Amino acid sequence: MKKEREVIVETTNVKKYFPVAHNQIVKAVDGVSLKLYKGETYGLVGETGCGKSTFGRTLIRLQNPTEGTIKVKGKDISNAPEKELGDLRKQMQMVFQDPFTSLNPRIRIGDMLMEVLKIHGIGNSKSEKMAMAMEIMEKVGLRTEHFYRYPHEFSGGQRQRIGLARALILNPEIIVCDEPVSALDVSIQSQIINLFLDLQDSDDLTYLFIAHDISVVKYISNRIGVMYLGHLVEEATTEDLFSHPLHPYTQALLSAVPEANPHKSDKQRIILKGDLPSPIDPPSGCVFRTRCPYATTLCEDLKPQTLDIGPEEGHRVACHMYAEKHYGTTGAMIEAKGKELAVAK
Amino acid sequence: MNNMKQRTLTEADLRRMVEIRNRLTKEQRSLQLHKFLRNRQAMVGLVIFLIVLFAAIFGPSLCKESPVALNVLNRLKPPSKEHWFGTDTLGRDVYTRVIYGARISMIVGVSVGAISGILGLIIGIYSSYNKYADEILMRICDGLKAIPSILLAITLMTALGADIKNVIISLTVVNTPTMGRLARSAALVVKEQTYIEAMRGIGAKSRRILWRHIAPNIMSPLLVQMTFVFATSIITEAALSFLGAGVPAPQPSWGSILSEGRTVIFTSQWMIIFPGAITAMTVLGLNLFGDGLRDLLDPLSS
Repeated sequence: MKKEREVIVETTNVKKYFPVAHNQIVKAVDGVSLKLYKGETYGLVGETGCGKSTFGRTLIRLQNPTEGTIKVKGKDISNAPEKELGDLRKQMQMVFQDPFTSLNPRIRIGDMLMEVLKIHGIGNSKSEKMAMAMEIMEKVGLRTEHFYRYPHEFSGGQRQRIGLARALILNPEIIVCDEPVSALDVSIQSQIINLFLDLQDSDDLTYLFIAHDISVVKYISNRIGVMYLGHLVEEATTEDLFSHPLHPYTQALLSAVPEANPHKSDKQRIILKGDLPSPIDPPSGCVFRTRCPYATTLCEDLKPQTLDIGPEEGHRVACHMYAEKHYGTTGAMIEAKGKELAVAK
Repeated sequence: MNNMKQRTLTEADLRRMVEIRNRLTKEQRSLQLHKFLRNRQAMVGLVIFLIVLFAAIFGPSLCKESPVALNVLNRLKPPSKEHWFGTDTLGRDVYTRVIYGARISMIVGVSVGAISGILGLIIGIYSSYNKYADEILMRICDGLKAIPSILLAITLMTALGADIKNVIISLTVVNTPTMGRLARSAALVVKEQTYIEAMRGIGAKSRRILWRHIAPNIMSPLLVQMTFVFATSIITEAALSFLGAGVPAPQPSWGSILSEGRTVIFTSQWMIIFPGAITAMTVLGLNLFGDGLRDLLDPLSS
């Protein structure tokens, strides 16, 4: 686990704000920094509206980030003009949540796959493109007889395979999966997830797997990031996160996962009070403080830093409870934070 | 990275694929055809329309007489064996004139429907895509729509002069804003679909997205609207000709025949009844066809 791994994507303080009516701003993603290592699956979880999908879309530049940098293989793509994104598009692809709206109903799936190749100038002749499209169809478990079928002739699971084929045909290294299985039946979910895992093995893919279903994320991810109201509140390896959830939000989230045998479990269900605050006017300090059972006045005044706390390396959490441990005393922490602010100014 | 072994398609493979494609296309077509044939309303509309179209195309060669041949001795004769629809104030055969009039109505209807449909598509697509184009195009459309359409058509006809070409131009100007607005609203809906986002994620250029992915998906409402524009153009053309601002005399148009019959409405009703009934039938047929087409193309509306 300790070996040096290649960082393939690195985001620093990525923000995505949307202007809404009355000169207000929705802070959908508010400063997310994370790294994706080559060949891993990074699960991004959080409740509806926490900005995880927006983050995924911003990452592949379907939207431009308001602030922050996105580096793919060391190259900053956060402000690259659309013209220069050709290579990025080849490297990073996306699989969408709803398999029923993500395919153009008027285009045969074979033609759609060939069009992707055409856009990127891959393949010389039509028959070469056709061969590549058929190759990819077989790879995702579709029959080549389906080449000339329209999307509506397929089931949800098959459509998601088509969506995956569309992403894979460019031979990308990174795939952003935006809740790719949440619209599917549970039995189909496992098929598709296993397909994802098989393809990762064979093609050395890196996944950013966005989901709200913790059990799916637990099964597929190497590392997990937990988002709340546009912030990444905790990040750790899957085992570490499940055995030692640090952030109060993560603890509450994990306590809500159903147990196979509830009688044997001694798990305490943590019920969060209140609703998700509006991302137009997020709480001051720590965004979670309005619902946090441990909130203090400090949480109101100061935004917690994201610190690598442990117990294992790479377990990062943004919560004052652990910052104190990190700095020794609250005073030391505030002082350190003050210095940081001074430097920033 | 690329562990896809290159596979090549043999002649036999390609032949097999073409076979699959043809079989599927045939299946899909016959399915659609069946669905359409089952829609009785649309079929009735289509048949009426086809009869009028047939008359417009081949009618003139079926008529022995000229629509402008005067026969003053035979003026205002009621329907008979020689003159099915009677004769008019100048002794011209009303049947022949109605058939020739159908040609004018069809030319006007088809041209206005097609041209305003195409212009509407272009306007709609670009205004859904570009904010500035949207503002400019939609304000022009608003302006044109603020004027009652028949008034606008008359004004344009007066300015341009009575001629079938000018009838088409002015009716296109009248109908394009509606088409543009329709195409725009449909395009705005399609634009938000995930598959458009997916195409952007793949790196498709705007032009490809607009014309290959958005345009085909807004064609159904546009096609339906085109049949209605076709129908209203026939009516408006008749109205213009009735008012003397349409196709110039002595060219026969349904509107001008009605106009001539107006003066003798109490003595020679056939001059009004036949062209009037045929105009109404044609428009009814087109509307029925359009409704059926809408049911066929958009299963949600039925």
